[in-house]
Amino acid sequence: MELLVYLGISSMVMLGSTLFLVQTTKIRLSSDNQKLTQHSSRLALEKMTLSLRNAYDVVVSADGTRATIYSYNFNDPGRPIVSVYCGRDGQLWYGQSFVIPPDDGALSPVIEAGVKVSTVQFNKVSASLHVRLNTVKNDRESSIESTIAFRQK
Amino acid sequence: MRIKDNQGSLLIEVMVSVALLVVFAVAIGSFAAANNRVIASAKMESLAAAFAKESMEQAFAIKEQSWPSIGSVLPGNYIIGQSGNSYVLQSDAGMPPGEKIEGAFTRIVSISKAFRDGSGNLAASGAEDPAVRRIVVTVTWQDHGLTKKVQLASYVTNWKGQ
Repeated sequence: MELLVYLGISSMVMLGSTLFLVQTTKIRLSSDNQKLTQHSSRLALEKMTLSLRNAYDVVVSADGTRATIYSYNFNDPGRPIVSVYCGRDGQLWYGQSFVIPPDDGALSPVIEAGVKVSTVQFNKVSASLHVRLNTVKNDRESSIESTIAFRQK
Repeated sequence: MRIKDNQGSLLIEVMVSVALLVVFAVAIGSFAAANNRVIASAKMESLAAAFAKESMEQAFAIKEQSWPSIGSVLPGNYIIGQSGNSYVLQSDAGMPPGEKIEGAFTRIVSISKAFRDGSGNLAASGAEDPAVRRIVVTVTWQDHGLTKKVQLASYVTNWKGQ
C-alpha cells in the first residue's frame, strides 16, 4: 500500500515537472522568436539611422513602401550618396549608390533570413522619417515605430 | 520504548508529502510571478524610453524644418501633434499636463530658455542664448503602485541661422 502511494505521488511530481519543462521550453522558443524579430527590426532601424545621419532630403514613394535618402558626401560634394530602403516580397531591401538611386536588382536584404517583413511604411514628417516596421517569425511578431530626424537642407 | 503500533503512519507520510508538494508548487509559482513582473516592468521601461526618444526626434525635426517654430515659442509644456506633413507644437494646457499614451503613459515635452555663463558655456543661469532652447521629455507610468519615470534632456540650436 505504501509503495503504491509513494509511486502515485512520485508519478504526479514527475508528470508536473515534465509538463512544466515542456511549457517553459515552448515559452522559451516563442520568446526566442520574439527576440529575433525585435533584434532584426532594431538592426534595420539602426541602419536607417546611419543612412539618415548626413541626409539633406528624403523622398518617400506614394504607397509609403520605399524611401530614398539623399545624403551629403563630404569626400566628394558633387556626388551625393543615395540610399534606398524598399519593402517588398516579405523583405526589407537596401542599396546605396552615388547621384542616382541604385537599381532594384542591386538591392540586398536587410532582415535576417527566416524573419518575414509583414509591413514597412515610411512617412516623411517635417525633417524626419517615420518608420513602421512589422516583422514575423512563426507565431511571434515585432511591431516597431520609430521617428528619425535628419538635417534638412 | 519501541512503538509497535504503526497505524496512522501512512496518513502522516502522505500529509507530509502533500505539504512538501504544496510548498514546492507555491515556491515555483511565486518565482514565476516575480519573473513575470520583472519582464513586464522592463517592457514598460523600454516603451517609455521609446516614447521619450520619439518626442525628442520630433522636436529635432521641427527645429530642422523651421527654427522659429521651436525657437520663438514661450517656455512651457507642449504636445507635439501632426498637421499634414509637419510636426507642430501645441500648448499643453492640461491639468495635470501631459499627453496620455496607450492609456498607461503620460508624456510631457518641456521647452525652456538656455543660458550661458561668462565663459560662454551652457549653464543653469546667465545670459539667455536666443539661438538655443532646452528640451526635456518626461514619460511617467504606474508600476505596481509606484510612479516610474524616464527623462531625456537635450539642447536644440539654430546652427543654420534660419
